[in-house]
Amino acid sequence: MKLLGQFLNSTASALMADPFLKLAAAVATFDPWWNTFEEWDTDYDDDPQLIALQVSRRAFPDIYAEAHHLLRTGASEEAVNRFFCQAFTAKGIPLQDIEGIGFGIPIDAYGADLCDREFYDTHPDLLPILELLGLPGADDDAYVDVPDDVVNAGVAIARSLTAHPNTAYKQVGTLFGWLFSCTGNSQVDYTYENLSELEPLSWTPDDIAFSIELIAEANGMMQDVHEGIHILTASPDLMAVLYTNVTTLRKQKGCTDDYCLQWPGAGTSAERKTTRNVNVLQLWDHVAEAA
Amino acid sequence: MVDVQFTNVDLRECLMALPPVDLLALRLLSEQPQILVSTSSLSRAQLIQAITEMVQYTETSTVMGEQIGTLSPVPLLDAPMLEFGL
Repeated sequence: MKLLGQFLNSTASALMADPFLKLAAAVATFDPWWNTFEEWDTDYDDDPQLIALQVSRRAFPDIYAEAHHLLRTGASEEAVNRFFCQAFTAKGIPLQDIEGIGFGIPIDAYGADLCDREFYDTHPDLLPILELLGLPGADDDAYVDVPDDVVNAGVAIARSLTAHPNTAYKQVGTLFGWLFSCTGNSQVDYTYENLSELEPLSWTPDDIAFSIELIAEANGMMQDVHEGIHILTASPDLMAVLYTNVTTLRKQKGCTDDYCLQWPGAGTSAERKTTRNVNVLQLWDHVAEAA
Repeated sequence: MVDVQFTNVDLRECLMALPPVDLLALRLLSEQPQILVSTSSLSRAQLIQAITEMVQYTETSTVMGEQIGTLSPVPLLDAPMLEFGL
C-alpha cells in the first residue's frame, strides 16, 4: 500500500513537472468527455445519461459541471438521472424521464381536438363555452363534426380578441386561439398526433434556444387559456355577448372583419352601466383605464 | 524579393514562449496534486468553476484546431525558406 502511495506521488510529481502533461491531466480530471462528442449530431442509440452529458456539456456547462461533480462523488445513476431531469426542466425544457432524451427535445402537445368526443369528456369546464358554438352536435358520437362556419367564427373571435388592448379579452382570445388551433404556437395548436408527424427538434444550439422560447410562450398561453375559461364561465353577460358575436359571424358565413364583432367596453357608457356582473365590470373598468 | 528570416524554429520558439494558459484547474492541481485521484477535497463551487472553465478551454482549443486544419494554403512564391533550400 505504501509502495502504491509512493508510486502515485511520483507519478503526480512527474505530471506536474511537465506543462503539457499537467494540462493533459487537468483536462482528464475536469473534462474527461472532452473528445467523446465530436459533433452536435446525437447518436440516439447511446446511453441516455451519455446523451445528457453531451447535451449539457455543449448547451448548459453549469449542468454538465454539476453532473460531473455528482459522478465523481459517487452518486447513483438514478440520482444523476434525476438531477438531469430537474436541471433541464429548470432551464425551460421540461424533462420527465431521461430515457426520453434520445428522442430529441421533448415537447408536450397541448392542442385541442374539437373533433374528438373524448376532448369534451375530459374538459367539462369548457362545455358551457362550446355549447355557444353548438358543439358537440346532438347527433355526434365519437367523432364530432365541427362545421366550417363554427371554425371560421372561432378563428375570427380569437383574432379579434387577441388584438384587444384589454388583458382579460386577450386571455379569452387565447382560449379561442387554443380551441381553434390558431395561436401560431405549434405546442399549443398541435395535438400529440399532429406533433408526432413532425421531425423532433434535435439538441442543437438553435433548436434548444427555439424550444425554450416555444415552451415558455406555450406555457404563458396555456395560463391565459385557463384564465380565459375562468373569465368566461364566471361572466354570464360576457357569454351572452360572445353568443351574439358567434351567431352574427355564423350568419355572415365567417366574416373575419372586426367591424362585425361587438365587445363590451367598445359600446356606449349607458351599456356599461347596465352590467351587474363583477367580472365584466372589472373588464370594462380596464378598458376605461386603457382608454 | 521579400527577405524572410523567420524560420519554423523561430515560430516554435515563439509559441513556446507564450505564457501558460491560466486555468483554475491547473492552479488547483499545482496546489493539491492528490485531486488527480479524487476531487473530494475541492468545494462544490470550486469544482464547478474549474469544470466550466475547462470545458470552455477545450471547446475553444477544438474549434481553433479545426480552423487551423482547414486553413487555405498561402503561396509565398518570393519567400526563401532556408530549411528547404536546394
